[in-house]
Amino acid sequence: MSEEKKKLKVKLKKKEEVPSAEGEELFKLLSKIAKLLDGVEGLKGVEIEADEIIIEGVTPPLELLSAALQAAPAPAAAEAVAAPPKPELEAFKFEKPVRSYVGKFEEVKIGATKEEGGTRAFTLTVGGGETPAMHAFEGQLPHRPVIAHLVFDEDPGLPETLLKYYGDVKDDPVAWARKCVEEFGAKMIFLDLRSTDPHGTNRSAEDAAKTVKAVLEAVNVPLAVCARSGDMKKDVEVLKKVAEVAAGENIVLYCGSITLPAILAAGEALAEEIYEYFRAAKEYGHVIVTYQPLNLPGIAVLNKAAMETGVPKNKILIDPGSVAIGYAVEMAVSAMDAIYNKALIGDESYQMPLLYIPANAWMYRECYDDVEEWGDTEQRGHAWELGTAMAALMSGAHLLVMLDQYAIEAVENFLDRLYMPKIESVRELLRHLPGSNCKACGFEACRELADAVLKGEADVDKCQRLGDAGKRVVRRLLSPPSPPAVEPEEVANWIKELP
Amino acid sequence: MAEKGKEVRASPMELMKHLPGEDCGECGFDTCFEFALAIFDRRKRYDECTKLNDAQKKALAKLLAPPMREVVLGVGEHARRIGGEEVMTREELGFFGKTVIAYDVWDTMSEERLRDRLKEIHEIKAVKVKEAFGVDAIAVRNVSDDPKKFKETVKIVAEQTDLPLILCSFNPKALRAAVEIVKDKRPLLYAATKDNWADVLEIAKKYDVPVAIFSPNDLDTLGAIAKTFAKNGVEDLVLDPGTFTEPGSLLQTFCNLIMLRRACVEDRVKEVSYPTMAVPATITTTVGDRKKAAQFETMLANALITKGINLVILHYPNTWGFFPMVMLRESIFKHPKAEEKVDPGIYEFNEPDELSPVLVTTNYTMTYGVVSSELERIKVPCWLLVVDTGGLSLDTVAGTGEWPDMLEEAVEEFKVAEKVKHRILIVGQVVAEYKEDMEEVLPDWKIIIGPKDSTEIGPFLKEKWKELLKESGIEV
Repeated sequence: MSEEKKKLKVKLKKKEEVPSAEGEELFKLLSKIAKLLDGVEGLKGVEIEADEIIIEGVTPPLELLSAALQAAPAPAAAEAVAAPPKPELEAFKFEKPVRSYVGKFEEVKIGATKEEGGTRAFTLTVGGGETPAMHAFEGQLPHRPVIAHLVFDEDPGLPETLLKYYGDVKDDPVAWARKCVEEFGAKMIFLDLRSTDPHGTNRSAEDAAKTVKAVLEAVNVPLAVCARSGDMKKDVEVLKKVAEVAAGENIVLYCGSITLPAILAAGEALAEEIYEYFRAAKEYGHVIVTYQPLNLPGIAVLNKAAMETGVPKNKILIDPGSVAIGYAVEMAVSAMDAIYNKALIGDESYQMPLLYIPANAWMYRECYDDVEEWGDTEQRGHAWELGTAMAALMSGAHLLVMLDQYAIEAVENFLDRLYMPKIESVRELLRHLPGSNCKACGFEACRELADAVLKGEADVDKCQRLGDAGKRVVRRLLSPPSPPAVEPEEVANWIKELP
Repeated sequence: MAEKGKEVRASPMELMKHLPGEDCGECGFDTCFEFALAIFDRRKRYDECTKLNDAQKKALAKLLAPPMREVVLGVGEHARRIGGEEVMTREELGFFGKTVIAYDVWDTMSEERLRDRLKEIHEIKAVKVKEAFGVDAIAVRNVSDDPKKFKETVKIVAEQTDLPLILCSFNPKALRAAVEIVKDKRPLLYAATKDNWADVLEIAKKYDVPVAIFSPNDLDTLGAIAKTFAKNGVEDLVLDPGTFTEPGSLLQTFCNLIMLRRACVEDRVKEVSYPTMAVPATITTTVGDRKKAAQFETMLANALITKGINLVILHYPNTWGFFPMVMLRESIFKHPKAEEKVDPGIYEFNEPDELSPVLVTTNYTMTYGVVSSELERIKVPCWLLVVDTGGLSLDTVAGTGEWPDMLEEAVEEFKVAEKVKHRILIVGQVVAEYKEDMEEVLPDWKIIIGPKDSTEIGPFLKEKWKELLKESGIEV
C-alpha cells in the first residue's frame, strides 16, 4: 500500500443469523471509526482489516458506509473507501419519436335528429384520428369509439351466458332493442336481420323493413341494419327496402355478402347488386359498410366504386373482416395496420373509419361450450369477446359491434379511462364500482351508492371494496383533471400494493 | 452511435455471401439461397445451418442483429427468448419476442398457500389443435421487504418449478439474497430504479442475470439507467415504463411503450433498444371485485399483447382468461409468411363415422379456418380432407391445373378410403371445371361440387347428404 494514500478497507461478510438490530449497531460503530479517522491528521497508509465486521439486515451496507464516511468532514476519510467506485448515472434525454402524417381518417356521422330530417334523439360521430392507433403523443386520438349493441331479429340460438341478458326478449327484436337502450344504456343499435336468410326462415324484404320501422319507432338512438346471409342478391334486396323505410334517419346499411370476382380486371364493372346497394344508400342518405374480409385491394375497389356511384366519402365505413381471437384475428390486425399505414400517407381509398364486430366471437364454441379443461364457460365467453374487442381497439377500430353486456361494460370502462369523459349518469358511474352489492357502504346496492354519489349525498369513500386506486378512478371521472394526471406514485410500488 | 431513420436490412444476396453455398439441404431447403430468403424474413434462424464456420456465424449475426436486443429468461426447455423486434406493426415483417405471460406469488403467503398457488399456476393449460401452452414464468413478489423471507420463498418456488423466475423487489438486499438461491437459473431481477440502480447493477454484474428497469413515466431516467447498465457490461435488460391504468394515465401507458418501441426499431436509439414489459395486474387495484379484477387484467393483457409487448405479469391465475390470451399471443406473434399453412391431413368434426360426408379443402390457413369453424358451428359430423396445396387457396390452385393431382395424392396419403364406406368427395365450387379430371385420377370416387360459400355448407349437407348416399347405393 502506498505511503501517500489513506485507505480504509472494510470487508463485509454475509451472515444471516445476525439480526438487523445488531447489524445497525455494528454499523454505528463503523461510522464512529470513520469519525475517529477524521481526527487523525496526517495519518498515512492506514489499513483497517475488518473481516469480523458483519453487517446484515440493514439496507445496502456499502451505500450506508459510503454515506457515513462522506458525512465525515475530512476529505481524506471520504477518499479512503476502497469499495469499487460507484458508476455515475449516464446522462440521457429521451426524444419523443414524433412523425407527421399527411392523411387522416374521415369522420362519419350516424343518425339524424328532427332538424336533420330524422327522428333520433342525437347523432354519433365516429372516426377521425390522424395517427396510428393509440399514438396520442403525436396527434389527436379519433372520436371515442362507439359500441353498437347487437340485436337479432330472430333468436340465433343464444348460449346461456347471453340468455341471462336477452332471454326475455330474444324473440322480439323491438323489445330487445328497447332493453338495450333503456336497461343497458346502448347509444346505438346494430340490428342483424338474420331471419331474411334464404337458407333459414327466409323472411321477405318487406317483413324485414317492417321490423326496422318498428325498431326505429321503439328506440331513438342511431341505428345500423345488417344483412349477411351470404346471398348477395337477397341481402341487397332487403337492404334496399330498409333504406327506403328508414329514409332520412342516416342509418348504417351493412351488407355482409358482397362478392367480388376472384380476379378483378382494371375498370371492370362489379355485380349489379353492389351498385344497387350503393345507390340505395345514396338515394336515402344512409351510410354503407365496405366489407371484404382480410382483403385490402377488395376494400379499395369497393370504396372507389361507392364514391364513383355518388356515395360521399364520409358516408362509408370499412369492415376489414371481423374475426375473433383464434380465427385469424392476427390477419384482421394486420389488415387494420395496413389500412392505417395507407390512410395516413394519404391514400383516400382507405380513409374511412373502421367497423369491427367482436360479437362474432359468439359464433365459436370457445365462447359457450362447457369444456372442463377450458375453464369457466361464462367467464371465458366474456373474456373471448372482450379480448377480440381489445385487439380491434388497439388496431384502431372506430366502431365496435358487441353482444355480451359484460364485455360491453368492460370496454366502456376501458374507454372511460382512455377518454376521461365527465361521468354524469348512474349507469356510467356504476361500471366503475365493484358491482358486488355487498351493502357495506350502507346502501342496498352499488346502484344506490352511485345515485347518492352523483347527487352529492355520499362520497365514494363509503365503498368498502374499492381501494385507493379504485376511488381515484371514480374521483377523476367525476371531475376529470385537465391536463390528464399521470402520477408515478400510482404504480411506484405495485410489488407491495397488489392484494 | 444511435443513428436516426429506418435502416435497410441486409438483403438475401448479402446474406448469401456468408452461407456455405453447398446446397446440402440439411436445413430443409433445397438451396442455400432459399435458406438465405428464410433467414432474411426470419422464418429461420441463421444457426439452423449446421455448416457455418465461426467467421460466417459472426458475419451473419451482425448482419441479422435486430435493433431490439434479445434477452433470454430462465434456462433449459422453459427458457424464453424475448425482444428481437424490428417493426412497429406485424404486417411489416412480424413480431418475434412472444409475450411471456407470468403470474405472481408473494413472500407473505403461508408455505401451504404458496404451494397450492404454484400448483394452480402450473395446471393452467391452453390447448390449440395439437399444442398445449402453459404459463411461461413466475413472478415472486417481496411484499415483506424482508430479505430472509424473500429468500425462503424463492427457495420454495425454485424447488417447485422449472419456469423462469422474476424476482420482484426494489430492495437490493432482498434481490441479492434471492438471486443467490437461483443464480444458475437466469432469473429476471425486477427492478432497477432511480433509487437502487447502483446496487442492482452490482448484483446483475456479479450473477450475470437479466434485469428489468422500472422508471414509471420517466423515459429519460429509464434510458439513463439502461445506458449506465450497458456501459458497465449489463446488457440483458427489459424496460418497464410503468403500467398506469387510471383515467388520464392508461393512455400514457400505451404511449410510453409505443414510443420506446419506435425509438428502438425506427430511430435506432441504442439506449432504449430492449424488450418492453408491463404489469396488467396493476389494474386489479382499481376494481374492488375479484372476478372483475381477473377480467380486467386479462383485458389489459390482451391489449398489450396486440401491441407486441414482450412480458406481462398477472395476478389472477385462471384457465378461462389464459386461453384466449394465449390464442391471441400465438396469433399476433405468428410469422406472417408462415401463417398461410396448416398441416394437411384428414380432420374429424363432430365425431364422424364411416357414413359421414368427406369435405375437401386446402391447407391455406384462411380457407381452413373459415371452413373448420363453420363445420364446428353447424355440428354435422363430417370429415375434412385438407389437401397440401403449399398453403395456397383453392382459387389460386384452380388456376394452375395441378389440383386434381394434389387431391389424388391426399386421398392416397391420408387413406380416406379406410375412413369411410362411401366414395363421395365434396369439393368447392371454384374447382368445378376440374370435375372430370378429378374423377379421372380418382376413378373409385364420385366428385360432388359443393356450395360456393362456407356458410352454405350446413344447409347443403342437411338437404343433400342422405340423398347422395342413397344414390350411391347406401341406405341409412
